[in-house]
Amino acid sequence: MTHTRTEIDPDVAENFSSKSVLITGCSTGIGLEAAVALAERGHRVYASMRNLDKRHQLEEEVRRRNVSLRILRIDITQPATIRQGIRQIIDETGSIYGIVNNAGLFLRGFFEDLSEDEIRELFETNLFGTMAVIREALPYMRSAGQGRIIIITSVAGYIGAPAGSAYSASRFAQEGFAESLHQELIPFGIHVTTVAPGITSTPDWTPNRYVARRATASESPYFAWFQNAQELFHQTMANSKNSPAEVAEILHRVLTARRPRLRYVLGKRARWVVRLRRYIPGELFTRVYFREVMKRITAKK
Amino acid sequence: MAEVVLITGASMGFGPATSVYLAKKGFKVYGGVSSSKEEELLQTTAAAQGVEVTWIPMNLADSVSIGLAVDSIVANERRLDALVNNAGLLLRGFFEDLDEDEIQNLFNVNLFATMSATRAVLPVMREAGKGRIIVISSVAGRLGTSTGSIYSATRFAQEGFAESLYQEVLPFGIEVVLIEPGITNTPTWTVERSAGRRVRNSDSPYFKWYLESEQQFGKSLEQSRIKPVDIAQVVHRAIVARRPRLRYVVGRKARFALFLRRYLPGEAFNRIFLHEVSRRLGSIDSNE
Repeated sequence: MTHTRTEIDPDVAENFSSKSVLITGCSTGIGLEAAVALAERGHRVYASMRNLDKRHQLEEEVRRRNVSLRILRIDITQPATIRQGIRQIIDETGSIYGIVNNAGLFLRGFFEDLSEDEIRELFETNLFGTMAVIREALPYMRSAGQGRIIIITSVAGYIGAPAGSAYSASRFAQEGFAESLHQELIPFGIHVTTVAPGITSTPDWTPNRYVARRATASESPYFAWFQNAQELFHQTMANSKNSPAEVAEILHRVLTARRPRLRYVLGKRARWVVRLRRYIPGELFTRVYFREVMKRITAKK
Repeated sequence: MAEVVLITGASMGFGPATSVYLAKKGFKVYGGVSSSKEEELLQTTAAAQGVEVTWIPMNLADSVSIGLAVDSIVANERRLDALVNNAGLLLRGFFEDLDEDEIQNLFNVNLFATMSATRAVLPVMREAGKGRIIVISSVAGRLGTSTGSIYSATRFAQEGFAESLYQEVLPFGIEVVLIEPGITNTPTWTVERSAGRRVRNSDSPYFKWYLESEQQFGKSLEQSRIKPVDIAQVVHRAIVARRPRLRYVVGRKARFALFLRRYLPGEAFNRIFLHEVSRRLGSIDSNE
């Protein structure tokens, strides 16, 4: 594999507004808001999505808020589209300063109700797709001697939950990957950061999206519990005060700080749970919190 | 009637020691092996200790093969009390030097095989209203390090999986346990076996750092006082305890690192420990 090493024009590198940032998964939700908000703040944004037919919502927001950004087609499970997208950024701007790995799938269902295919598909996007984007951008970042790699994970990357086994596995994996990569790239001036939003309600969320096929079959031994788990989840989502704008704000900070943190957890509730788990000694958290969660989920109505 | 245990990757890592230890404690032990050469190794080890371990063929990259192995145990024994997900590989190398097939292989063995074996044993355990699912992870499942990006990703993934599953199957009387050993020198371990193909390619921008990290790793291995039988003992404890813990960390260094990470405020651990490691590697060029 050969990469063209691009020399950075020092004048261009000094000029903040010319730093290009690639954001994946921008057709909706956090990705869409991040793309527009970072463009508002002067970043040179490349907003990618798997399916360009879904670009209208983003285009509308771009017009409404009067910003400019470029829309690209990248399917992070297809290496050729990643290569082509990053090529375009290099050709047009000479470098790639930041990548925001936002594209990700969700999967809900008790473990025995998840099929192997569903789990593989989840990992293909959340983990292997993210790795593929980073792999493709790294040679350019190394030769520039600077860069920011951001992975949008989830509070599920810090704590497991019923009906979220495979999802948590994929998010935990991202956290472990990022923590290692962070150390490998520090000497090159490249910072790796994970941003974990709590449960965030986005406009086009629908209850049955991302639910495993078998999870809603009444023969499942977990059927009733899953219904309860879904109800609790939707309640949490309805009460959530987390917004995509908050995530975009942190992304701007990570892209511009001299020394960004390795990890950011967003949302009051999420931060509270992560802190409890961290500081409560021994297995008390496991005994109390996890058992309480299951008590609520297995409660008869 | 003896309790029945299945150990995956019985010839790998902690497998032989754990198989023998549990057999000595009176368990009926089935050891999953992938080749007749491995089977021989396992039989020799068991025979030397005067115990019997039943081998069972298992292709870790194939969920059907794992399912068949479990089915045949259940058909023979009419029970399966504990599953020890021991099969695991190490992969060392800076991320950019690791190839996709190496990454996939590691996930197949460390994560997806764990999931497949777990899926296969859950119905019989649910029916019995009890069971233990042990996942042998690693301290790398709690802490990422350079040259360990993919390895840590697989171990972190096991942690997130097990922690969720713990909650899901608790109402059935099934307990899920994670065991996190620190660096342990096992008899089957060699540096070459766990290195990515491209890490010793001198064109790699990480080449010098890799060599340095390998030396440091070799030193840690030499200094390690954890023995495979220590892990075997913890596995046994996790199987027989009335209420096992969700996590057992094995090894003093590992426990100390996790303690620091937990109680140093904010990102202090990251700034001090993780950056120090990178700095040490990064300063190699200037030392020359």
